[in-house]
Amino acid sequence: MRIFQNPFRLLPAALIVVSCLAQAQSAGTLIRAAELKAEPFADAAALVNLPGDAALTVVDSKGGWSKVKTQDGKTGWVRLLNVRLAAGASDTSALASIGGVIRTGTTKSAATTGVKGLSKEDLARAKPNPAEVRKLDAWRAKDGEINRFAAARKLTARDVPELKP
Amino acid sequence: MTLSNQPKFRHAATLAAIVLLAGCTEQLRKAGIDENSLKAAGAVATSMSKSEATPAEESQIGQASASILLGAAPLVQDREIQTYVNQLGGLLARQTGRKDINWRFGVINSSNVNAFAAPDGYVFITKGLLRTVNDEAELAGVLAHEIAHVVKRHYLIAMRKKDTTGALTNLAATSAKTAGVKGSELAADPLANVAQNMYSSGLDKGDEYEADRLGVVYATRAGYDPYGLPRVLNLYATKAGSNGFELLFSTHPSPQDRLAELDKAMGDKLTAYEARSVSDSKAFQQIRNKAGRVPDPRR
Repeated sequence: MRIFQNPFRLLPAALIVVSCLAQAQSAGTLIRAAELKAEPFADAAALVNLPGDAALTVVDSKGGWSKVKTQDGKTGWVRLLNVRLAAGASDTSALASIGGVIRTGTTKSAATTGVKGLSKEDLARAKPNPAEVRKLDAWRAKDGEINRFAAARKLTARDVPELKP
Repeated sequence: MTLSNQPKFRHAATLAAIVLLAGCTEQLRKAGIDENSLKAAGAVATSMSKSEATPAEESQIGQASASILLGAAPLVQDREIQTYVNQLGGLLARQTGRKDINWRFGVINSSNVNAFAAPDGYVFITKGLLRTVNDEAELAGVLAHEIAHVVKRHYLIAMRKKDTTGALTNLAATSAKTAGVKGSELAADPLANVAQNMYSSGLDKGDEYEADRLGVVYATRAGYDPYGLPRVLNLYATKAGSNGFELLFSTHPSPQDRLAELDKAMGDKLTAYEARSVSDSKAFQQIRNKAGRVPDPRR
């Protein structure tokens, strides 16, 4: 079949498709019993009560809420801190490494591609660069700029006590 | 004359301090040393393990540390990206109650995903991190976490612990020796080794958990949604073993452990702030896209 003659031609398209499909599809576990909510609000309707160790797939997050799919196919929202994701749970992680190499040629391949980075090896090789440090002074934010930054976003400062461990 | 200035007591206190640091208070009590002496010795032990750098020394240590990071990879040469991060960082730094710190924020041109701080108000994120986070509240959470490391002097204390050659303790002597030879740049070399060592091995777990708690608080104080940092940690959780995350993972507790600690500390204490919080801005998305187009530096 002609289409397979040059499989690399299809790679970019395949990557896009896979990355769309795989966006934030992460396996997780509920760490305490909770209601599955129809919307990401405390007073939203409860769809079902989930047990404390329910296996879930996290598909999205918004503020302090995670959008999850239960094993029997129900979709709804639970508090973000009530879900613990499995290590390397995302379907995108394998893709990210492929994509990372294609896009940037960084990290592990840094030595061979001649790209600088911030790996342990890059740090070990590093020579002090004081000229670069001096550049930071020119970019410092003035009080007026910070005020305008906050105003443009309607950010209002509020009192929040420190959290105890 | 205070008690601890008396030569005899000073030796006893030093000894007691060492024993205390080794966690042997029970032996001291058995040896007949009373409670008050133990307390006095405890104070000496605390001051011995605490950072005592003068502002000038702290500035020199910070400069040397930043210099090593930027020696590994330079800054993104883009005024718009850098001023954006300085404004966001500056706003977050206002929430610390510390007006005496000379804050400087920078985006390092590396595709590795990470963030760093250095003594004397340096805070860095990588280009890789900037394009990995999803919204401004997430970036605010990361910057606030680094700001907390500076406020709590975590790096300074960690460098003192790793300073086997005496680079930090002999700072004044080293500076004096090389004073005629273009100042700090020569004196910084032994410091550079300590900084290299520290950035590649990381801080104590407890420091990271403390910076997570404070980071969430600073971001929320500024008006951002409190869950920016927890969302970033969730994102990290899905990236275990991914290219570009190696140093981040080898120098921090696992994202799962950090979330568990945050969960314990936050509970539902911050839910009340959610409704009137900011999560994102157009400016952030523009800066993130722009950062995505910056090529990696060649060696």
